[in-house]
Amino acid sequence: MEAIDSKGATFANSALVPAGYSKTSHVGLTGYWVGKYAPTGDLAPIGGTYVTYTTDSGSGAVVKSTYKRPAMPAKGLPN
Amino acid sequence: MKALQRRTLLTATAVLATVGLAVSAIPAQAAEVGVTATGIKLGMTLPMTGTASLGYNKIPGAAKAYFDYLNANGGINGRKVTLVVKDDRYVPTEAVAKTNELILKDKVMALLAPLGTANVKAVATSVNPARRGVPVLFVNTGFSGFADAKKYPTTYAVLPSYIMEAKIMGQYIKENFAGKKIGLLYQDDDFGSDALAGFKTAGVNFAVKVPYASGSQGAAAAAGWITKFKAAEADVVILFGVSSATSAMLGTAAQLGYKPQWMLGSVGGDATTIKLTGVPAGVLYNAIGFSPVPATTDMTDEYVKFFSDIYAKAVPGSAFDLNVLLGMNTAFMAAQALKAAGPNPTRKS
Amino acid sequence: MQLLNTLLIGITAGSIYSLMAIAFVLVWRSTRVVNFAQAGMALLSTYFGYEAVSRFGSFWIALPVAMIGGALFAALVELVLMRLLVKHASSGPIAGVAPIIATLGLLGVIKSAITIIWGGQDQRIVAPISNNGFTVNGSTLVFSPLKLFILVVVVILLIILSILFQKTNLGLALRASAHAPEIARLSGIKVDAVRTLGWALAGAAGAVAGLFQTVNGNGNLSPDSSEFSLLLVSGFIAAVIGGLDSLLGAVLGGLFLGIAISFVLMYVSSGLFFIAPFVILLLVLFIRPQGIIGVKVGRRA
Repeated sequence: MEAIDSKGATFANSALVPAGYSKTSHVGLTGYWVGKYAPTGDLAPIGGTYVTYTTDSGSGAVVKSTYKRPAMPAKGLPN
Repeated sequence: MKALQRRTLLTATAVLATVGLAVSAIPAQAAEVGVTATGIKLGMTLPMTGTASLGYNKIPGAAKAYFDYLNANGGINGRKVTLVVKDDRYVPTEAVAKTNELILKDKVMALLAPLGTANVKAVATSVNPARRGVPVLFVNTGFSGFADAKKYPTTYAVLPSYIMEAKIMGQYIKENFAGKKIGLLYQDDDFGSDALAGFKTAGVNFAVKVPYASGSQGAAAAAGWITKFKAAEADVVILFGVSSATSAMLGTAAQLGYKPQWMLGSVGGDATTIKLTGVPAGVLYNAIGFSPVPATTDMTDEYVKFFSDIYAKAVPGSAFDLNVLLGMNTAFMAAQALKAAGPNPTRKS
Repeated sequence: MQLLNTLLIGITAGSIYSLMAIAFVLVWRSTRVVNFAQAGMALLSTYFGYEAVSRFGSFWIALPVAMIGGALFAALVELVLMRLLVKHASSGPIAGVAPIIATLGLLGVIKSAITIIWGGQDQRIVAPISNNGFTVNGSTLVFSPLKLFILVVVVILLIILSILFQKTNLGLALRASAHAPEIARLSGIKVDAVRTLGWALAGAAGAVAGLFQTVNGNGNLSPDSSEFSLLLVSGFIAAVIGGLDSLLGAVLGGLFLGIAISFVLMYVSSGLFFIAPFVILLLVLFIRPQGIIGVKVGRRA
């Protein structure tokens, strides 16, 4: 658990928004991208590119995210 | 003489026994519960059967698929990760019973991705993993409360909270549907109250709000919900419920020719799951949806490609959907947590 | 339009509750037992129907298969379980309770058996009739060919049952065995056989209710189906509202309950799904403890 508290926010994962783990907070991912369902029924980002928004669970504003997901670790194994 | 011999023997046995006890009390290498020299055991509770299991029952297969891949590639420092899965049918009392089994009988190191707000809450109060020091990694619910490290010291959220989702939905509504009549379907528990809190912060006013009791989300009930939305002349209808509720709504709407602008919450918004219940894909067309992870059909994304390849090999014939992606993503994060916990991971580290 | 739709939702649901209530009444009248396994038996019969659909590919075979299967199973339960219990626990306070407790146990056994045979996951039964709502003056009603079919079948079954009870010797025997078993026996009626028949009829009625509840919902069927828990509760409450002794009462009770629930969910709160039936039951019991059709029309044993 201490590992998540200290490094959890930097754990590689597929999400397009950052995670917020720290010693004092166990909050996970912090946002979403908005999409539209295609005629096939699958969800795809509006305009073809992911526009992500982040916010908190309190009164904080909803902001456009500038988060860039780090590359996947080699072979998808934990490093 | 004989009596003396017997006494000596008894004493010797007692001494040996005491020494034995003392020795076993000294922590050996990897003495943590659920961790041996060759393996790490994790446990999961979620609905595998019953009304709410729709879609979510693919999660264990997904997580196992990743762990199998991990184990075939060296595991965590040579330890193989195993996952014990128990069906709680989305009933909190069963989640409590099954979690007790996992901790006491199966002796798992940590709980992984237990599903459902009410279930995780019931487990937190009745089983109290925090007092036992059992980590509850990456709960499969977006209830904002679980991020509170003081109240739930061993529980870790992973999904963005329902409040965040409602706030972002609210922002989108303000930018795109200003002046429209908005309707909301939500679950009548913490899951829903989180959503209501988020919409309130975002300043969304609803023309009509329809709560439903968890477990009542059938097609027959949905006919009533739709009648309400129709009567309130809602232009945009937000479905903030589990998959079975979304499916019941969309399926019944198709039968009743009801076509508002749909907006689906991420919990019940997985297209594959919805289509599986016989809802025609066309009903979903143009609905607004939200997700923290890439589109499951986006094969240009390295993670989606990687996970879907593993899943296709592990569970042939099963569609790669949002539940699978999130399940594998959670397993992937758990693997990193275990790895980061050092050569001999403990519950604390 | 909202009012009409609310009424239509209530009538369709209520007609299914009526069938279930009839099953309760038939068992109560023939053996003075409240059969809590009724929904379990209905569920099992629906699985028989599911088996028929998957083997023969036709819903039209499923309906009679479920009815016959349900009737045979109910008869078997009466023959093997109930008769044995009545024989062994015939005196003392336990005599009145044992059969009722036994039906509760049976409910659990049936559910477990279904899980073992068909598994815990959802199975699907799709009705061959469209569930797309009729359109009137450009607006779509919550009433479809499928729902119309359900109503028609329920009405036909009711007519058959009432003819059976009022006009035939068999009906006379059924009524006589229920109300005065000793006299019936003396006048040459095979009371035991007649009781088994009462259970069998109940089993068939429950089977139709189960099948209809499934296809009127989303077609999903599972051992833990909340639709069936609802059927058990609503059917029983409808029977009680109707006075527990009268077939007509069961029908009226079912319709009343269905419509009342629909109105509560629509105009009070849709979150009251699981509470509404009980509140309605309590209200009815306070106002008319003997049920809608109580002492006046129903006869006492």
